[in-house]
Amino acid sequence: MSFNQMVRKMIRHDARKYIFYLVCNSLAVMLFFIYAALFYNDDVTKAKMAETIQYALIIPGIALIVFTVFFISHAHHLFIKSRKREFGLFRTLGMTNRDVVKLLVMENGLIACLSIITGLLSGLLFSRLFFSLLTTVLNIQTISYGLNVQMFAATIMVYLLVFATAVGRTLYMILTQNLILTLKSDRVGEVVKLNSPLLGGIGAGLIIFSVAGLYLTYTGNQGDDYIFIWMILTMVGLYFSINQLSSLLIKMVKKSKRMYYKNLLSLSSLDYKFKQLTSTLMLVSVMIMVTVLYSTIVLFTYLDTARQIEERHPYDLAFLQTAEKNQLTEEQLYSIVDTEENHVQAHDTLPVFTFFQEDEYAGWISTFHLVSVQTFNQITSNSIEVKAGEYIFHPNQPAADPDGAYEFQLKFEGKAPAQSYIQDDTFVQSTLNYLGGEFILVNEEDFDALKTHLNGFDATMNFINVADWKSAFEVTRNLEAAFAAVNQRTPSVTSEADEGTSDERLFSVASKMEDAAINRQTDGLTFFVISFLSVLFLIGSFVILYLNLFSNIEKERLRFSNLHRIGVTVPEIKKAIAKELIPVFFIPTLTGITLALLYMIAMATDIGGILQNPDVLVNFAVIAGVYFILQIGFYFYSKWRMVAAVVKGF
Amino acid sequence: MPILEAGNIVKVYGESGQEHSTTALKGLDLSINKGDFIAIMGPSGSGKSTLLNILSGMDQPTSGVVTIKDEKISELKGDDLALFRRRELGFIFQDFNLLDSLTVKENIILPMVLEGKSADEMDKRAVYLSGLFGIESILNQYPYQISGGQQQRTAVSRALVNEPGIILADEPTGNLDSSSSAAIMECFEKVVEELSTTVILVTHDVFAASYSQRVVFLQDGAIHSSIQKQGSRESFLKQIIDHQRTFGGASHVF
Ligand SMILES: Nc1ncnc2c1ncn2[C@@H]1O[C@H](COP(=O)(O)OP(=O)(O)OP(=O)(O)O)[C@@H](O)[C@H]1O
Ligand SMILES: [Mg+2]
Repeated sequence: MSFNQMVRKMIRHDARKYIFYLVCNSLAVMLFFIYAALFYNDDVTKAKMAETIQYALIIPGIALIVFTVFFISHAHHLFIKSRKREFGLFRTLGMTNRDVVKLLVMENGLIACLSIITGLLSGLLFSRLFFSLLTTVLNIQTISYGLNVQMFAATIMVYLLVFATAVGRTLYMILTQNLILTLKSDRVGEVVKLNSPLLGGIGAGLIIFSVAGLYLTYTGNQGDDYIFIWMILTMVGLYFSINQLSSLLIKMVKKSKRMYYKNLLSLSSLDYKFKQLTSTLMLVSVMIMVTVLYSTIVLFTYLDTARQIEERHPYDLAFLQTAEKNQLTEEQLYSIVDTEENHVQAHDTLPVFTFFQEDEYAGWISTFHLVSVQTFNQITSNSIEVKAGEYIFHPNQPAADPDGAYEFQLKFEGKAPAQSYIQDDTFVQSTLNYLGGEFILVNEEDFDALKTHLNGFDATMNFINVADWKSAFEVTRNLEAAFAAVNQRTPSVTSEADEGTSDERLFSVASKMEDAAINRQTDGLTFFVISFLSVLFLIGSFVILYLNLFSNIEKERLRFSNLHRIGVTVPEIKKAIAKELIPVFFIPTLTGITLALLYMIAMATDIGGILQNPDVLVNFAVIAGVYFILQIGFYFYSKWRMVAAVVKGF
Repeated sequence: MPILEAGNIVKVYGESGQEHSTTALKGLDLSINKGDFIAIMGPSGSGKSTLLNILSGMDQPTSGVVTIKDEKISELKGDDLALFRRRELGFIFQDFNLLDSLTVKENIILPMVLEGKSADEMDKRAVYLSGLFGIESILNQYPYQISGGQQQRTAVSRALVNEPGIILADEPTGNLDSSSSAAIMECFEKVVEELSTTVILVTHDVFAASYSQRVVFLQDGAIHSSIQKQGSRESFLKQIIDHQRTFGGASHVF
């Protein structure tokens, strides 16, 4: 039997190990390719230029690269640990270093090639599937699936780089390490080497520091630029704290001998498991964190936008009408708006005087609607009072800056009235559908008097409610088309030279349906990207945990069958398995969710702080709850599988 | 009155009658009384470990019945069997069978932990046993950090920890120097005399076997002969060596 034949026989005998190694590698390639398929997607690339989507991709990108690095090195480490003993044996039997290197390089080269092929193929399949699934579910038309060279090149390059580094390290170690250590590596690897509460403390400190750092910097404009630094710090901190967490726990439990002995079996293996799985647990925590964080952001943005659309549109649709513009007769209007299935419920009108005035600082022309406070009160059920000679500035928009001074000075060019007018107050909130300009509320008598001194025209605001706005999208389209046809025939009321105002803006239909549709399509891309990554990470974190637990299943079987030999019963074994699995599943979940919450609070400074937006917390609770339930289900599944695998045969 | 009885034990590895099947035990009968100290000897592959595994219920015989303390253990299943083993039997394995993730002390007290004994009781017992076998200085080390002999002494301590009625040992002195093996054998002698524990051990070591009261010789899966101790250990040792010589000649001539 030649040496090669012997090697082949050993491979066949260890097929499971090789298959596991291959699966891990393919999985890393696949996940990375799916991400690349999104990152280098043409539509996403275009959006990236506009930077609206950059932030949505950066954290997951880092997480995924770190993930690839750890996952591949980890799989490699597991694989090599078992092979090292054989290599050690070969060397005692007289195999040269050259032979060892040759064998290792050949073996791993083959694995790498196969992994790239299977990883890319499955990546192609799943990215395609993901895209079509999400575009359908989310009803997004702004993104389409496509392939390009970059996706493949980036995936292969990142993978090969990480893989080659891992293999190189192993080669170096095997060639420099002494034989005895190599021979014993199987067991020495399990030594709990480093127990240092200090290191754990530093880790925890790093996490706190990074969250605080994020909180402080995110308020600034550069928040997004620094986020990845904080993210990396958090990961490093997490690594050390998870690594030391089990030792700390055991130390605490040891204080009570009774407790310690009672849980002897699970505690000791937990320590070992935690040290073995440190990188996996860190990765899973981070993935859970990213998933929960981003899902919450998506949910919040979606709901918040929907709420804003409702808030800013007290009426389903509104438009400004003058003697010439948007001019349709009542019958014409109703023939479009009032349909068989969707009748008009209310139709209110508000006479205004629309005028233009140059902004002192910016230099552009702004549009305002002068309105009598009495008619305004009627339609909005307010009871605002304005004295003669005074006016109230009403931007009809929610306050962008709560402390901002909304000063407005009426200017009369050449035709100033004898009487002077002064600003009495501002009324900052959104009351009516926004129609191209802000309101100036005046007394009924002043309304008519002021008109003659201002540069504008009489107009009527029309506000319409229908039975069901959600199914009135077509109606809005038709109305707009009808208006466009009318407006074409009449001269423009604004001049093209005036920056900041246009006919189009002034006479467009302000409707809930239009905004909702715009929201879906423009924000849809971000929505898509984030949902995509959330699902990817959710699946990714499950798979990693599962693979890692089951890569050691033979050893677990042996351990438990040894225990069984000295009289440990099956229910006791089941209990021990449960006790060992619970922390492995739920510590990363809790850590991830907690970190997501902290990041959320830090990032919420952007929208005025978490306390101003309690909705964020509600959304967060929902997402975290869903995730937790999924994790519970997954825990039970894994436990069931593990018990079945361990207990079978005795 | 026998504490352990084995009747017509047959063990076939693999499907019987097939090409790769091995008949390790061929209808073996054995009866052991409470307080007996028995050594099983025989050439490699004669079925010693197989017999011990079947006597302890760790393996099922292909046919035949094993009765311990009126309990037909070859008919006990799963957890009942596990509980029975843990309370009534102590084992020492050829390959130590220690848990790598537990310290020496934790390995020793593991059976007590399972029985839910108090921490004090466990500590006392661990201190007593480790003193007996000279491993008190390594109580907090892990199995991979100690020598083979020390691992074996740990395994012996674990087997004794629950004060079982029967101790079954597969080459307990295989990895020990003569003074530690003497210590272990003296300890067996002591538990037999003072607690009337029954000890069954498999060994290649005639010196260890001379501590027992009866040596049973196996060959090709059947009992070939057995000799009873009469007089001193030294004379028994000579007797065993002599017997083994004739016995060895009768088996295989290379
Ligand atoms: N799991 C097994 N599967 C198949 N055959 C086995 C198995 N275990 C033992 N045998 C065979 O059964 C026979 C008896 O083996 P056993 O281990 O009982 O021998 P032994 O007397 O303990 O030998 P040693 O002194 O070398 O430990 C041998 O021929 C062996 O090859
Ligand atoms: Mg044997």
